[in-house]
Amino acid sequence: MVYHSSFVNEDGVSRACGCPLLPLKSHIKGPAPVSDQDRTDIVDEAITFFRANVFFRNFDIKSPADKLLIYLTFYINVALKRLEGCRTLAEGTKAIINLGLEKVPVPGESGFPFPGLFPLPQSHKEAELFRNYLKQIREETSGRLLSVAYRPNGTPNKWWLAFAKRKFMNIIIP
Amino acid sequence: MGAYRADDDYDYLFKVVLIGDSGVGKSNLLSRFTKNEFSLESKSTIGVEFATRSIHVDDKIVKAQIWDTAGQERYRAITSAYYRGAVGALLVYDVTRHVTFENVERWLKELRDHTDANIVIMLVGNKADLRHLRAVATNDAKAFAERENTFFMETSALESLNVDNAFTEVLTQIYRVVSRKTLEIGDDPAALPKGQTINVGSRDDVSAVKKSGCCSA
Repeated sequence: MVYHSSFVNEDGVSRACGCPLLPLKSHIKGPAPVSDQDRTDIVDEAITFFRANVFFRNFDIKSPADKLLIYLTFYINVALKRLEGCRTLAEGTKAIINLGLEKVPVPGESGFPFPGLFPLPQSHKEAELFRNYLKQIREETSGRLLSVAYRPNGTPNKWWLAFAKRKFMNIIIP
Repeated sequence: MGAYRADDDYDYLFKVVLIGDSGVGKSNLLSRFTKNEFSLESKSTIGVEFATRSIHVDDKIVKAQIWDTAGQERYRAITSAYYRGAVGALLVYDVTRHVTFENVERWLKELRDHTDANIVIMLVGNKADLRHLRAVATNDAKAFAERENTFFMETSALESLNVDNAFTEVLTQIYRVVSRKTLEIGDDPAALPKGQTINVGSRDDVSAVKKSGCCSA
């Protein structure tokens, strides 16, 4: 049984492409509301659940937040592949920063990994809102992933980097 | 006789970031300090680069891990990861372009948003060799640095003027901050460090060679 997001109640949460723009504990600029530092956010859930959820080929969606969890689980998988072979935190940081420079596709664009998971944007404005949210949440996820993938002394944590070899839901990563 | 030490051995590893507008010479400052190289070709940095160089402070080996990134917004990514763990910063402007000095305030704000309050900041006026093109008076920059509580130096990466001095000063000051913290904690073992502790390397950072002990001559 996959782990699901606890963000089921979406009262007052904005949406883009059918996805709730959930709050983040983040100082990174973007459209996400700011969450209290002492609360768990969707990024915490994605990282906590990653090493269990990555094994599943099917993911039954119970709430729209699960869609975001799927996206982040995939993103963490991509990020770990970039960190594979980076023997120090410095090299890992460089790789993750370069990943952050790449184009972030939204539903309907080539390169978006889950066609059909999210409704297509109804306007250019909605597309850009979702893109900016994804950029923000990817950056926040990357920062926290570096904290778990490398030990405080800068050496790789093999229990995390080993998951670079997994394929989430059999999606081939280019 | 001093004990033999492996080439990559060090006592402290300090992360230092270079920031400032595009074209002020950040990348050339990095290459001048770490490789003693200068390139007249002005190519924009895309993404991030880092390089290292070790220096001696007192009787310690301090390894500087210096990070360079794009000044242009469209080539910048994951700002937070770039700043994470930095204990020093060189905030660079170009003495021949006043707008780069005007933007220092914005860079300083970004730096302070993302780093520890104890970070050592050096304001650097680069391209000081272009005397006939100077647009930022030394005294104006010095006054700004005093107001903002940062160090200040003018450099020329082209002429290799003050480049080593700027980096060495930052590294020395970081070392002083770290040493002072160690003493403060040492005086009162029960006291917890206030605020966020700068992680400048735990015992684990010491290389395997040092762990196994070194031969003495």
